Amino acid sequence: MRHRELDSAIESAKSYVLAQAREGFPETCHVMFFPRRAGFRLLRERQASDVFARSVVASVLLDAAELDEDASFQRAIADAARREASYVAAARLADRAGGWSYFPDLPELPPDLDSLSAALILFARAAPENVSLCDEPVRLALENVRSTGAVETWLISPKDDPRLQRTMRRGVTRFWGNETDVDVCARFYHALRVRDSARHSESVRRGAEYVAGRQRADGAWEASWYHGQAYGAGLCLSLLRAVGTREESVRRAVEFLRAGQHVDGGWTVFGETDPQETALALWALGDSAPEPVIEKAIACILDYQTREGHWKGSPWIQMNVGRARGLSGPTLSYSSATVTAAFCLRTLLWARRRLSTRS
Amino acid sequence: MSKTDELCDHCRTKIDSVFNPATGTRTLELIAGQRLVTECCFVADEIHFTGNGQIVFAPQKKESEYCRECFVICRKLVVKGGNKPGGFNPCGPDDPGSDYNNNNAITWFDRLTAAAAGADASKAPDGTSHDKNVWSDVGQGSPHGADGGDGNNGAKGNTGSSGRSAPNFAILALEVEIGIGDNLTIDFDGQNGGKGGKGPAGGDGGDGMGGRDGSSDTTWPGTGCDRQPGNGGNGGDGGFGGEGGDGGAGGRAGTITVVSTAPNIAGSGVFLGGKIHYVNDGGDGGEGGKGGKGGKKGTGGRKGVKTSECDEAQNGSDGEGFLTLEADKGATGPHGGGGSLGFEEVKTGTCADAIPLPTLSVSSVTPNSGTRGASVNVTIAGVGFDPAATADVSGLGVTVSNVVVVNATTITCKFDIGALAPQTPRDVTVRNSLIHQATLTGGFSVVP
Repeated sequence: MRHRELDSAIESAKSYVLAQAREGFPETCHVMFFPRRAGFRLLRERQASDVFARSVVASVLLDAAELDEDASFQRAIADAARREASYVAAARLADRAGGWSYFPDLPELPPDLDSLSAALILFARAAPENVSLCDEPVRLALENVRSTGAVETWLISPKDDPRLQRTMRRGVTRFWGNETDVDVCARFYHALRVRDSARHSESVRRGAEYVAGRQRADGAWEASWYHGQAYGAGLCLSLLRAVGTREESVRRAVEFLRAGQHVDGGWTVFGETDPQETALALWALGDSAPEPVIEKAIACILDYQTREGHWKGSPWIQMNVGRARGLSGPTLSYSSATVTAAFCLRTLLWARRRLSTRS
Repeated sequence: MSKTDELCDHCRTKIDSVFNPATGTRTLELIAGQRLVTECCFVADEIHFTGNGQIVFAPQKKESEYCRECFVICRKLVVKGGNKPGGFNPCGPDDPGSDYNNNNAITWFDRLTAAAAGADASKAPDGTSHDKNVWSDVGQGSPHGADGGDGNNGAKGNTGSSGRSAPNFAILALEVEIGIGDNLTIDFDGQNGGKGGKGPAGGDGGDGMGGRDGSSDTTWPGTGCDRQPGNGGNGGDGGFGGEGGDGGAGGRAGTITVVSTAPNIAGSGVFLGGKIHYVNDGGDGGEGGKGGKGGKKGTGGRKGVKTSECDEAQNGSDGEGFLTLEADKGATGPHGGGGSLGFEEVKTGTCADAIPLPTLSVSSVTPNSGTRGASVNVTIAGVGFDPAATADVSGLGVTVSNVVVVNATTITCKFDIGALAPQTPRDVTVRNSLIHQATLTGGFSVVP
């Protein structure tokens, strides 16, 4: 792989994400229709969401900026992250204690732990003054920790309006399902650690045990809400590495991920090479990835970059419609070119640093 | 008009300035290295080639106007060193003149380089290309990516310039001194044609467009697949490279005429003795240009991203590339027409009379008498005898035969004296040419 090609790809990707940041990441907006005939009781069937994706993108770009030596890029991302934090802070639900809902105007959908975690991580890194917005939802989540360390995904507080509580519980029962999700828990415990590692050390340790316990024999985790293997693995590995008590789990996860690389250097989703999955897999492998693996993976990611510097949105969030009824599927998907570009850019910057250290 | 007359028409003034008995400069020109001559007439009493001497007739003006006729005129031509034309290649397409280094030559300036090469053609246009990773609705009316366009084929390359025609040339030299192993080349061949330009590379095939992504249902609960992903468009083929340009035509050669004394231009004379070489069969055509290479293949467009419930689409196929395929070389340019080679004995009654002939005299005839009816073997002594010199005795009754020029100072021959030959002193004449003879008055007598 030629370094000039990598540099060029990075620059064009940076241009793309900065342009999106200036506009408030409009491309991340996720629109869905929840028809009344399907049982939803709402005024507007059309629901839109971007808070969760923008929280994640802003944090990923903060990672990216830390890996780049371009001071102007670092400043621009820091500014953007503060703007995004303000946006996310303003989106906190006023009428529910759980904090943030993926579709805030969909009454059947409760605030969720994943949205809370994404917001908390962003606030802790870019706008500490907003961290306190998460205190009540975090308390609520910790009150709902099960003996296994699992935390319920849906944050329904007894303090919420009773009618709203009923509506949300009906939604969980009828539409969303009430399973605990290892990917969601992993992000939550990671967020607690970012927020205050000393204060939450015991919770985080228990969370790590739970996450390790949910690992499959082959080293993978079943992510409920995300396509592919790499994103969920990345969330879990991030927690386990930070806690540092489950080296064997980490080793098996790394082996599983490494075995997933295909001849073309990429990792796949639905059997097809996917640049986002590749970027996430390489990011999750981190320093355990040998240079040939990195080189091939980066070449694959570059091959998928568009002439405008971004990547097509890869399948990221999945929503198993049959989950509440114990069925598998159908699965609805959300993808975003901005999200994919952020993940890919972060990995490219990491790889450049890693490869330049070698040379 | 004889070449001598023509030569006098052009060069009378120069000849006079060199050979006028009262005012002539009688210069000796030593030719060592390249001597550029911008006048039509190069006149000297003696011209000496040193083994690395070239007289090169160059354009008179900036815009390369040559004399139509070029002349070298001297009383005596001396040639030392040099090589035969076979020892070098004066017709190399790129720089034929460089091969005259370290040789004796008379030639003309544009003969030293080939005509201009044809310009290398620029690459043919690429086929329409799309972003292989992105679908865009640009009128293909389909979820499938549009195909990339084929690269254009290269046209034929540019032809090399034609070589210039050489001027005509004449040399007048009454005496030639050229030893064994010495060589002089007279090259009034046409200029070699220019090399053909390189053919254009074929255009690159365009990349196929990516297929439209499949999309998930946006309405709850949906089926998981709202729109099937499209196939990627096929990449275009690279274009073929263009044929190389043809070489330029070789220039027409000029005529070469040698004017000298009869013995010098006789079959065994010095101008035909294999030491002076003539090159005027026409300039070589330029070499054809190299063919252009083919264009790169276009990459097939990537299939649209599927969602979990959608069918799988197909990537577009890559086009065919021809990067390693080189088109035909251009044809070699046609050879230029040859010029004639002529020899003419110097004509009297012309300006050439002013050029002093080499010393020729008869000093003695031995024996200097013979009796009627006898055959006498005689030896004629003198200076300046040409190898083809003849001897003659004046008056009736004496015939000369068995003339052998032993060397420049001695001739042997036989005088057959008739029985009735008048008993008178006779003049003995040695003749190198019609205009060059010497007589010993009363050099032989018929006695009873």
